[in-house]
Amino acid sequence: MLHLIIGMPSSGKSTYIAALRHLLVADEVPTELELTGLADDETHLNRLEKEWLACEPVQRTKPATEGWAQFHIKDRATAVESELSIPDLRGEAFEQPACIGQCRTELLTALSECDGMLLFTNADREDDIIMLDDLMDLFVKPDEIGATSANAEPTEASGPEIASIPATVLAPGISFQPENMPEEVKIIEFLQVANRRPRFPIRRRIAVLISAWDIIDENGGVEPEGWFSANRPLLAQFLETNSDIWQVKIYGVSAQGGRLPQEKAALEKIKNPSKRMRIVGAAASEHDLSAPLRWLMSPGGERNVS
Amino acid sequence: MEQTILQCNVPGCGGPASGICINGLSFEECPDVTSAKQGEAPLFDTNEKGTTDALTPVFHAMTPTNGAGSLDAISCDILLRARGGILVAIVAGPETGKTTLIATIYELIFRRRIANIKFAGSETLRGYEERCYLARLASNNNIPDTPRTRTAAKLSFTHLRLFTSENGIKDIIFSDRSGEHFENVLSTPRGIMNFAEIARADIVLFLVDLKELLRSPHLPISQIRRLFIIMEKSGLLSGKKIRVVGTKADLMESAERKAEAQQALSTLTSDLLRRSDTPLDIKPLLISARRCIGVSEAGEGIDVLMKDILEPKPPGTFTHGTTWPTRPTELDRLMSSYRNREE
Repeated sequence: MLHLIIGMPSSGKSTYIAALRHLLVADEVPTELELTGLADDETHLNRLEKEWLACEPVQRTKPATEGWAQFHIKDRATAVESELSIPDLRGEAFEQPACIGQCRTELLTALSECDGMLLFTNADREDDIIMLDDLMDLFVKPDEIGATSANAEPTEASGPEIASIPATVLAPGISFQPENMPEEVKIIEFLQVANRRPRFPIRRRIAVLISAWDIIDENGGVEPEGWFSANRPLLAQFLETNSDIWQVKIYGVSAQGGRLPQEKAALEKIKNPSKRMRIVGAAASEHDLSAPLRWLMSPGGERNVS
Repeated sequence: MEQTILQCNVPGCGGPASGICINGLSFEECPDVTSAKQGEAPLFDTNEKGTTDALTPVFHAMTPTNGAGSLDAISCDILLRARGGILVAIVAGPETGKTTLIATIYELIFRRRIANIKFAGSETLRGYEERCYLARLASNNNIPDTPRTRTAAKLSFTHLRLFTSENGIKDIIFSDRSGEHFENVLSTPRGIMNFAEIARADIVLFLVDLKELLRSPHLPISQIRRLFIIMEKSGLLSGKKIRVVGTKADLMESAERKAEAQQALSTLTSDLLRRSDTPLDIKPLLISARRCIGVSEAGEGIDVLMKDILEPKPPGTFTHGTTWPTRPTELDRLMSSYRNREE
């Protein structure tokens, strides 16, 4: 079975693979999948797991460190054995369809043929879709809103207020760069490519993994679905309105277990490293990072789109 | 796969190492990308400490994905033939707010700010992002703006797939062309037949800058009136929804001023209607792409406009022709009894 791990740069793809590798090899906590053997080449996975076990941030994937992670696994419930191939590619590879209208041929082939996807979005990143209109109250008095629109002449009254705008906002404008487009837009374009002509639309499963979930849900009570809908509105709408093509489950994941390097000492004290990782949503058990993969592999779901 | 060491000679461009070309070209096409042998220095990835990693950048074969910034007339035609859809033609002079309107519709849908309308996809995501960029914090601007459509720019289209619970998914296409094109056609009215988007449109939006309409009404009224007459006499408006959209309502200083603008817009709409030889579905509509006084969010009136655009066309009425063959066949005679019965 071929599954893709997709996500923009620093969205947590490699950290998840590292944690999953440890989880399956260590077999220390209950999981829905179990490892049945090692791949022919374990170099890439070994490097990732080494960093993860040392409680160090997993390094960003570089051109020479890209690789295909292979897992020989068995579903404990059904006893079905599979070989999972998951490409661990740099996030830039997934930006290219939106930014330059092209995709690596090997990735495009994998996208066309894949059975399902793990889609990563990092909860611990700056909001990249803030509208200036929504910040107007910070810059101008309520009764001046409107007078500061694009085509209005600058008024004397607005002078002192604008002077209080943070320097970063007053800095000279930055011209449009495709790579600075919002994460959601890049992901949607990548997903659209999967079903765009000449490819035939196929119904696929997609597990959305919100990484750095420990930061969002420090006190508990936040549901991944609700967070995703509120904080990734365009992507959430896209998946919701295309439910004939995308079957979706949403998880909150903390593959490291905490912030690094701030919480490194605390994480190192955990005797059972598998208990560092956390996952919530879609009835996954607390530490079982294999649950989304198991769902992707599970039977059911017609591939043809009516 | 054949691997070649490539590097980019443009400062600031990550080139093949980053996977993104600053010129927006494939690395095979980009003239700034050279092989390491041709370049002066070999390219290496640099780690955070500034030392070289000796990681060889790898060239990957690339395949076009057919996504676009904007659609040209041919691509738009292909899309409409393949999927159907509603084509919205926007008619207005320079700096009236055409691009801002298109961008704001996208921004509001992006943030779920139009009730009961959901995003389902777009073939021109990058085009929308280019149009929205100057109104976002990421641009480092301090007031929202919209890039101006250059006079030399050709007719382009942006596309949205939208979902409503009443109508399911619909494809909506907005035309975008330079306002100068409409100024020019006032001098050479026959040129309107080259405005492909108006001939094909399901809905035509005449945009009027409300600030101009109140400050110095004669010129904008005259311009819109002449554009309307040119299109109406060319048969381009027949059977289409027509909306006279007053833009920049956010620039009205008071509620009284806004009411004044609304009245002026209604008068203009009535004026246009009386110039038509045939009954038209024409209405005035006031919108503000930016935030208005006393309104917490941008985009006043845009929800009404979108509902209007997405509302299904009423089914046309069908009537039998009155002509009858001079030499009726057996079938004609048979059918004539049914026809008489219906009449």
